[in-house]
This record gives sequence, structure tokens and C-alpha cells, in this order.
Amino acid sequence: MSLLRSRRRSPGLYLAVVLAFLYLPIAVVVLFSFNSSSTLNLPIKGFSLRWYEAVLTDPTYTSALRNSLIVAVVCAIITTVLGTLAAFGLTHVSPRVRPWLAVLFFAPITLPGLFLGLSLLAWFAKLDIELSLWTVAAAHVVYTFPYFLLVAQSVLDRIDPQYDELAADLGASSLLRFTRVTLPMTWPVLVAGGMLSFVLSFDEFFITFFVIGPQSTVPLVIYSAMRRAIDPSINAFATLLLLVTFLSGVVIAVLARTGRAARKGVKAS
Amino acid sequence: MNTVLSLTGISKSFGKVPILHGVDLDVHEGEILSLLGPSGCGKTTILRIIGGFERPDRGRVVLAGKDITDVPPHRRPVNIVFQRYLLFPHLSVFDNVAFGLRIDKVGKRDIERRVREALELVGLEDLADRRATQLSGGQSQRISLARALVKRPQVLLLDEPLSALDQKVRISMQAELRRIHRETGTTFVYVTHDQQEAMSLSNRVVVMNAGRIEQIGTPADVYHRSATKFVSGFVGDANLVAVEALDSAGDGTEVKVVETGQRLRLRQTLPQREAVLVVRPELLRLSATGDDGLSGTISDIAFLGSAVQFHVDLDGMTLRVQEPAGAAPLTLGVGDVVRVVLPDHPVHVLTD
Ligand SMILES: Nc1ncnc2c1ncn2[C@@H]1O[C@H](COP(=O)(O)OP(=O)(O)OP(=O)(O)O)[C@@H](O)[C@H]1O
Ligand SMILES: [Mg+2]
Repeated sequence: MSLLRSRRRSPGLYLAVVLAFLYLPIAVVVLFSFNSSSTLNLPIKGFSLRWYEAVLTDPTYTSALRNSLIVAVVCAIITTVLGTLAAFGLTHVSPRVRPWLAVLFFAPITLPGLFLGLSLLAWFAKLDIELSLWTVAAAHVVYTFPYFLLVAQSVLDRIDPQYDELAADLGASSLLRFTRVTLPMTWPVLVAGGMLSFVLSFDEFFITFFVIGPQSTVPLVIYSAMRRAIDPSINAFATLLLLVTFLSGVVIAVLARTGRAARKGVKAS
Repeated sequence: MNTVLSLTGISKSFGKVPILHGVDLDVHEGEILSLLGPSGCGKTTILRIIGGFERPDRGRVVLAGKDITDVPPHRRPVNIVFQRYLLFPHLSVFDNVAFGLRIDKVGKRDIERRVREALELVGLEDLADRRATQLSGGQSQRISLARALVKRPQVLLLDEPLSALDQKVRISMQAELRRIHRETGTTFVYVTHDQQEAMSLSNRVVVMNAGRIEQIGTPADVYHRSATKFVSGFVGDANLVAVEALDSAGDGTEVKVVETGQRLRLRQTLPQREAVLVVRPELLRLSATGDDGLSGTISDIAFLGSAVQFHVDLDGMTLRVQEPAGAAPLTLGVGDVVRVVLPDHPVHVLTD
């Protein structure tokens, strides 16, 4: 009996260990970001926001934050537009061509960031394009595009093609069918895909490292700061990065749910 | 009788599989025309060709004198109600019905009025502000109907619109459809594989089989004067009795039933020596006495509610006889020897 019970308890224990393994390092960073002392010793001395203040007044950090935001927003917008076109294009090509096109679109997902960064650098050099935030944004589009497509396709594939016929029957040209039916029915998922691409871009390191000009982004600043000396402001900065990522994650989850709920309502029968 | 829509020589294959083989069909203005046939015979394909969602390999579609074979669906003045009632989930009931009018840039006041009228027509004017996702199956199908009718199509296409509904709702919706048809005067082309539905709804029925039209006629035509064995078997139940004429005298004929060898007197002349009698079970009567008709043994009795169905085994064939429940001879049981009596009037005959 007691043997049984202990067995039953052990999965909980394993899960706790795994969760601790996953989240303790993160918790430590967040904890130290509020530490009033500059030594990284547990337990922390007291609560303070001094490192946040330091981060938000230091131009190295603020410009990196701004750069990352610009790159991530630009990348998300371009990816959303291109990805939406590609996703709808894929649902409209003949079923025989579709898998081949899909492979072409999804293939970059398997390329190591290192390889993408290197090849893009070579490409920009060849075309004589000066490295800047724009090259980073362009590179990030290449990187996040397949992820966007993955999210968008999973939903578009399940939208009943009869809606399109229905709208056509009621007199809508293909443009009106897109703007009045397809888009209103799918936008939450497209925005979720855009947010995902924003997050992926926001903390991307490898590719950025290769194709960026004289500027810097959040992950690059954290990396170089860590190499110099252990500056506790890094904890605050990393926590901010975490916050952006986490909030975006929540928004993505909510949007994906909205999209799914809308489609579920359709199958009223 | 004006022809509003006509199909001539329509053939269609999907890949290498031929689905329709030269279909010719005229739809009269203001009628309900049913396409009736077993699953897979090509009914939906015909409807989709009329709607413009499929292109025929051969043949033309002419609507009100205009060839529309190559006109895309959004420019055809016909509307369709699909089998699966799809409402746009992101729109309210009102906006669903108004969808087609907004596309056509109808004025705001006209839209308001016509949508209200359409909702009233289907009896759901109270639901205008509901979300499309908050409706029952029957309500959704009515909204689909209103959404198609509000555009005042020259022909309304309905693809088994009631098949997803349960029996009770289906029967009441049939009456509803007849009323809506009367009130709007719209021409309906109605697809169904339910012969009862086709008969009770339509002015004319088109019976299809394997991509071909077997017969076009009124419900009474296809029921009482089936053109082929297939029609007689698909539209209701029929006893097919092959006979050979032996001797005809006056307006009667002495025949031999091919399968059993029994002799039978018919009150009609046959157009040729060999023919097939098509006799509906309810036209036959059982008699425990006399020497009229054919002799057999009752092998099964089933109570159907309004009628009682008997299976009578003759030597080599089984006849199905349906007696009105009130009139059925209750004393008869399985194993009894009876005579199956043909009606007094001439029965329908097939020759080939
Ligand atoms: N797009 C398509 N591609 C390939 N085959 C098709 C396609 N559409 C229909 N078919 C085939 O054509 C045949 C006729 O189909 P159709 O839908 O017209 O039949 P139906 O009479 O409406 O049958 P049901 O009563 O089952 O709806 C079927 O065998 C079907 O499998
Ligand atoms: Mg069908």
C-alpha cells in the first residue's frame, strides 16, 4: 500500500525536479535583478530597482533596446505580409504542386543560425549592401518566415474551402472574398504569427552577430557585457528581455485561441 | 411554360473518371425541379456546374437566353444553398443575410428592408442580432436560405439542404420550403436522394442514375409510369413481374408469369409479347378465397403503422403486398396460402 502510494507520488517529484531545472536559472536572474547589492550572493540583501534605473538611463542599453524593437517590428510586419501571401498562395495551388512548394518554404527552418548568418553576410557583401539594422531585419525575415508559415498554415489548412465558394456565390470577386471573408476569419492567427516572428527576432543572436553594422541589439549587448565583467544591470536587462518575450507569448496564445474558437463555432452541426 | 435555365449535352469527368454523360435538362420558370438519384450519381456536380463552381468538359449552360458556361460564379444571377449550412462565423445573422447585398453595393435603407423581409420569410426576424455561431441546425439552414433568397436569384439551387437536420425538423422544413416557394415564386432546383422529399416538394422530378437522366416527369409520372426498371425501384417500392402474352381477347390478355409459370388474366392488352409489369405493393390485394390472381404463401408480415406489408412467396419469386392497416385481413398469418389479386385497372408495363 505504502509502496503504491510512494510510486504514485514520484511522478510529481520528477516533474518538480524538471521544472526546477528549467526555471531556477531564470528565477535566479529575475531575483538578482531586484537585488539592492552588487554582489551575486544568495540570499539577496534587499529589494531595489537600482539596476533597472541603471539600465534605462545607460545609452548602451537604451539604444540596444530601441534597435531590437525596430528590427523586431520591421521583421514582424514584413514576415506577416509575405507569410500571409505565401500561406494563401499555398492553399490555392494544385494539390500536386503544394507539397513541393511547402518544402521549399519550410526548408530554411532546418538551417543552423550560424549557416544562415554566414551565407547572408556573404550575400550582402556580394551585393555591396552596407550592414545596418535593415540588413538585420531582412535576415530575420528569412529566419522567422518558416515559423510564421507553420503557424498560419496549420490554421488555413483547416478553414473550410466552401466559405470561399459561398462568398463567390453571393457575388464576391476574389479580392472581396479575401478582404471580407478570409481575412476577418483568420486575422487572429496571422497576428499571432506576426508576434511569434517579433519574439524570435527580438532575442535572435547568431544571425544578428553576422549581419549587423556598427549598432547593437539586446542579445548582443548582454553577450558583450557578460564578457567584460559581471555587471548586475545585466540581470535587469535580461529580465526586461524575458518580460517582452513572455508577454508576447501570452498574446500569441490568446490570439491562437481566439482563432481556434472562431473556427469551432463554425461546425455548429 | 418558359424555360429559364437549360443544360445541353453536359459531360464532366474528374481526372479520368467520367461523372456526367451528356445531360440535357430544361428548368421551367417558377417550378420546383428535383434532381433525385442515388449517392454519387452526379447530382451535386450538376448543381455546381449551374453555379459555376465546376466547368463542364462538353455542353452549354444557358440562363434566360444567355450562355453562361464560361461566366465565373460571382457573376451568375443564381444562388446556392449548400448541403452543409455554412454561416460566416465572424458576422451576425443580419450581416450574414446582408453579405450579398453589400457586395452588390445596394443602398443602406434597401439592405435593411430586404434583409428584414428575408428574415421574416424564413420566420427568424427575431434573431437578426444573434451571432451566427449561436444558432441551431434548423435555424442556420433557414438563414442560409434567406441569405441566398435575398439576392433574388433567377434560379435558387439547393443541395440536399435538409439532409443534416433530424427527421421532425426535416418534415416541417419541407412544408416551409413549399410556402417560401409559393410566396417568392423563385425557380428552385432541388437536389436530394430522398424520394419522399422529391415527390412531396416538386412540380417535376429528374431521376438520375450513374451520370445519366433516367426520366423527367411529374411525381405521379415517375411513380405510376416509371420509364425504366431503375426508376420504378428507386422511386418507392415496386414488384417487377415479367410476363409473356399467351392469348388476347377483347381488352384483356391471358399471360404466363415467366418466373413461376402461373397463368394470369390482365385487364389490358400488352404492347408486345414479352413485357414487365410494374406493380406497386399498395395496388395489390390479398384474398384468402377465389381463384383470381396468383397463388402463394405468406412468408413475412411487417406492421408499418399506416399499412401492413406482406411478403408472399410464389414459386420462384416474392411479391410484396401492402394493405391499409385498417383493412388488412388480421386472420392471415405466416404460412397461410393466399391469392395475390391485381387491381381492376390496367397496370403499368415496361417493354424493352
Ligand atoms: N472534385 C472532385 N474530384 C474528383 N471526384 C469528384 C469530385 N467531385 C465529385 N466527384 C465524384 O463524382 C461523383 C459524383 O459526385 P456528386 O457529388 O455529384 O454525387 P451526388 O449525386 O451529389 O452524390 P451524394 O448524394 O452522395 O451527394 C462521385 O463519385 C464523386 O466521388
Ligand atoms: Mg451531393
